[in-house]
Amino acid sequence: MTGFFDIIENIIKALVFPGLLFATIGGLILAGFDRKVIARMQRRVGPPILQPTYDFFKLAGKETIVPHAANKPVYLAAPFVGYVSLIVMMTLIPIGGYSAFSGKADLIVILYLLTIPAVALIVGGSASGSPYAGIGVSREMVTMMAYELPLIIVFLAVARLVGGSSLEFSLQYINAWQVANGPVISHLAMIPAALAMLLVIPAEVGTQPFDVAEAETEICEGPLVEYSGLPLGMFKLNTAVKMFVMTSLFSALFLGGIYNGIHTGVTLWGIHFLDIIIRAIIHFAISLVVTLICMTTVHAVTARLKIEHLFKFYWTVVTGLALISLILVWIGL
Amino acid sequence: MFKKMVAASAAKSPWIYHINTGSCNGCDIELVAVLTPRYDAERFGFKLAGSPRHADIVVVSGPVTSQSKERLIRTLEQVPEPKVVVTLGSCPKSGNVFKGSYSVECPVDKYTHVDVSIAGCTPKPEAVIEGLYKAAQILKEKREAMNK
Amino acid sequence: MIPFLKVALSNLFKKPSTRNFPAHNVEAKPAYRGRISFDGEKCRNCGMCVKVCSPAAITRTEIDTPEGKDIKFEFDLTSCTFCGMCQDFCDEKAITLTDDYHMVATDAKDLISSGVAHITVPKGKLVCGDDCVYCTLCAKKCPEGAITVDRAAKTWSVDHDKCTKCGTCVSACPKKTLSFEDPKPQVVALDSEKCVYCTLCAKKCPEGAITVDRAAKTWEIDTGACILCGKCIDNCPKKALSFKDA
Repeated sequence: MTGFFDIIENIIKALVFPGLLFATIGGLILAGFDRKVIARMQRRVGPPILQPTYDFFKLAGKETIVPHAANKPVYLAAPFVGYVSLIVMMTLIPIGGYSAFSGKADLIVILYLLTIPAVALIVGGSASGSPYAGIGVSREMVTMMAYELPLIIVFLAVARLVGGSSLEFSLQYINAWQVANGPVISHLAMIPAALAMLLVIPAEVGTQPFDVAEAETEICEGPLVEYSGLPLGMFKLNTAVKMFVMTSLFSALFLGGIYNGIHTGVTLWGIHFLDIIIRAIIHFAISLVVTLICMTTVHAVTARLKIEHLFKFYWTVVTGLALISLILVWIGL
Repeated sequence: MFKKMVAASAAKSPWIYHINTGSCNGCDIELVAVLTPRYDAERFGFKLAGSPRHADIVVVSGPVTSQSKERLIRTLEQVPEPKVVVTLGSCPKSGNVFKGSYSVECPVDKYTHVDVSIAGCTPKPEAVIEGLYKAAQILKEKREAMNK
Repeated sequence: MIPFLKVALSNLFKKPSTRNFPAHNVEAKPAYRGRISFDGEKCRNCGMCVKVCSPAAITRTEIDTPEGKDIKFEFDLTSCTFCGMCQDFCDEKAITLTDDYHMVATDAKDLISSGVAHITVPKGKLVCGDDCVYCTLCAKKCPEGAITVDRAAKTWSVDHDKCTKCGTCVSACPKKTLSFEDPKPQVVALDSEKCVYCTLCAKKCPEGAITVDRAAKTWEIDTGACILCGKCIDNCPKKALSFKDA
């Protein structure tokens, strides 16, 4: 019997919280806030908060055109592959200190999973057979190389800080460590790493000024140029969910353990569901703040970079910031 | 339920693709002015799309020169259904002062069904908003017709 | 980047500068040239607007009616450049470009401003009186270019074939000397009681249209040949001849 309930519980974890439904709705609302606040920063009224949701539903109802030159199965499957990997990532990241599935080295799994949405974009773009997509794909690859290096160094710094010389890659353990020792960001040595992570997020999500791969004004949204209908909607949804996943990852890595005091004690079938709801809301609020800082504000005040500038920026400034943290942590500060 | 949501969203998220078929640039400027803070068409979900494949509303400006005729037809073919064609200004509908020229093959009506025409030379941004809003409503009607 | 950041953050707490347009209508600026309104009552069908319209957006359709002519003017707003030339050239101020900019339609027929002008065409021909100072204003105003005035030679002439009898020149004349003369009587009639059959009329007739037989005391006129010049009437010693309606 317990086996059966375990399966039900896992399905709920994967499909409702913190998986599919939570990640999707959270991502869409986050993207809506992003667009609204950018509009307000430009003294506009801006679209409603639900605008990305409307966009998704509208695209779902459009005709899907597959170009002659395209490889049909790959072309249509790519956005869904990216979406699934994002949902899997969401279940691995602790939401308010509560992670659905945890493992020994889930940070490394996340590092691999993070590349999949970008790879899906690359594969889908290449499969569409458009020269615009070709340019977009090459730029997406360079962007990926640019931000992967600082991201790995940030992960290493956190792992070294938490686990000492043995390196700790379990998010569950990192969270528990933060409950005991305070959030990672409260350690001075980690502030450059946090900054580096904040700079990696917009490139990972693909927002201005790091949207070189999807520059809609110069290369017609790059890899997405031939996409229409539901697959395009899925890519747009991926961007929204990626926003939520990346900000969640940031709060799990740097702001964990601040939910300590929340214990209402209300239980239903042995689950502290009220705690989970409150923590999820706080978690979402933190994600929102991180989004506003690292994506919305940056988007509002900058123009798109060139690809070589982006690459240079990530491999010098951002990697430098991450390395400072790593060195400081390594020498034990 | 899902279909109703889709139909309702169609009017709330119309993406515009703008094609210039030899326009003098006046209408093009006014169309972009519609996205500025003063007029802010993004309130209604309007967005300029980079590729015709992403578009719902195709805005045509200019008197359809012989050079651009082929491109206009090809672009219109690439837009997924349901789509709405809007003519901006006098030129695409009649040729305006260019009518009768050897290099102009107006009106657009010869190549596609025009759903909304915005008159003016150039139209005021408010008139453009009005026309695009009407186009969004037509988009919703077309989407609902597809449900049946 | 820092100044931009400052502006962005301060904007965040300001009211948006967006006009709430479809909810609150926005008036066009003064002298905005929008939808054309046409007043058929004022129109005299001179056709100047059609001439000056560069995109040929104005069409005239004539409908014959018992009283005169009905002329339907159609202003195609999807063809108009809104230059305002028709308004400037209309002497009767029948055309105005209003400040209505809401010119959006799903059907092109909704974008046509039209009006009907009721025209009573004067019967007589255009004549110039003695007060003429040869200012050439009539010639300048004539939409058909039918009038020629020579200031130096002090001549005034009109090409009746070109003249549409619109009356633009009549109202433009500063001396009020232009007019449409009354229609000429159709035939020369004889009062047989006064006639002495002197044959003077027949002799004076430039066309030889009159035949008089003194012996048989008959007087005949070929109305087809008569040009109604009136020389016979002027020369009749007994004043027996006169113009009469046919």
